[in-house]
Amino acid sequence: MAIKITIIITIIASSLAVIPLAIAESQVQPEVTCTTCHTVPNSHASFSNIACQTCHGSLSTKPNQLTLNHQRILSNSTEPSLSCTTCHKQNLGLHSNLGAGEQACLVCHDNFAMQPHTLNGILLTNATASNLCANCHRERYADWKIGVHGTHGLNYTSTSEGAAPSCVACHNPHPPDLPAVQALPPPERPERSTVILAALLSPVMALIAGVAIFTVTISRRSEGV
Amino acid sequence: MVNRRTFIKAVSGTVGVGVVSLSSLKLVEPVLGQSAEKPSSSSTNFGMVIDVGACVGCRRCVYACIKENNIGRDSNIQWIRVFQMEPGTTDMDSGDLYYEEAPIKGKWYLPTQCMQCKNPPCVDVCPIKATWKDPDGIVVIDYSKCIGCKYCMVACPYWARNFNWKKPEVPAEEVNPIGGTYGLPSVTSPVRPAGVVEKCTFCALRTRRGLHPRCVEVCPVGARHFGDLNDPNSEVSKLIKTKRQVFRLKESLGTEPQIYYVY
Repeated sequence: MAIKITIIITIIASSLAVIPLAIAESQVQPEVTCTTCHTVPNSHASFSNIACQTCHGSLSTKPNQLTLNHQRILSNSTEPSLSCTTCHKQNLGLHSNLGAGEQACLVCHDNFAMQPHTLNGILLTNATASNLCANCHRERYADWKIGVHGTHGLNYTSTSEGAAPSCVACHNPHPPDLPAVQALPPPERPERSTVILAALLSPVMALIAGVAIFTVTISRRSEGV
Repeated sequence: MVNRRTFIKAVSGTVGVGVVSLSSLKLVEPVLGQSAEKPSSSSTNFGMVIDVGACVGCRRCVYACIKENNIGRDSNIQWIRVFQMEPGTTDMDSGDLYYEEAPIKGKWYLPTQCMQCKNPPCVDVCPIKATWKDPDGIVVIDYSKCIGCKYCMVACPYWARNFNWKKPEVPAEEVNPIGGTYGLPSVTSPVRPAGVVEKCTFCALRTRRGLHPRCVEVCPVGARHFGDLNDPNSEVSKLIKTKRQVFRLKESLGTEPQIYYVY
């Protein structure tokens, strides 16, 4: 009895499986992809090897409902090439030493939520971002705190504490490198010929003087003076 | 054979010409008059702190100083000298004054100028007391008294003093009317005469009015700091207290320089 039921179920199941397969075969089409209908905008040229769904979600997402969600993009991504710099072309300069690849970004930016300036999970605003910089730049921060870094009032008698602009007002963290300040020309070297002449002449003059003194002494002695 | 009379005549004539030429050197036109600032009170002790960790050796201070103080454009005198230093030494004698490119990785930059020493050897050696230390700590020179003997230049361990072999040539439109006079009643021209020794005075006419010296103002990296070392709340006092590495140049000489270097 049990065996019969099993056989019947198997037959039904297999017939059910065959039906949609037959439908699909009747509708077979050559490679329908997003780009069949949608043209890839120029701004997306660098993403050509990344599947559209990575960012644009499922097929049911209407285009104008697209909201970029870092968490979904990064967690659902099967693209090994996808990193922060895929979209955010930032020259980190010296800050790239903070870590390999996007690890450098995540030192200051919270993962997934991607809020800028997160310090131990606490969100900082642009005005208080200096606290984040202080994580590494402690000495400069201490100077800035007491008002001796970053401010040069015209008047040294005024106290500058508290009036200093925040770090990011003067320093761009991407990249932190300051614009190169070209050195102005050095003073002129003393003329080489003068130096050589002086160096040569001084022993010659000394020799002449020596000879003169010697001659005078000898002549005086011989005169019996 | 030269007899005594002709000898004395010749000597006195030479001396006379010398005196005339010397006095003609000192003829300076009064421009600023007697209104120059008096030294601040003796409770002030001006000092400077230079952050050599920040200095990139760009020489902006050198050229700002030349303009501010009416230093001769063609006399090759720089009151501020910036040395390119090898790591591991603070010996300015080993520094390179003539570097072209800066900053170079692995080198550091040491700006030097008159240190306004507490025990200035240059003041001790001056035979006619033409240079002295004012109560606010600035070592000044009375250019109308200076005879150009250059003893002070030899005595200065920091090579801060320069001799004007000729009158400083400053284009008329670039003459800074308050530069280079330093509040000495007997020195009234903004451009110094030839035959005198000159040096940095912490821009005395600016600083005695509460302004920063020009070099501090123009430093693009904020490496220079100026203020009253006697005031515990001044920028410089705070820096000296808070920075871990503080040094002065040639401290072993006992000159007590008033420029501190920090990094």
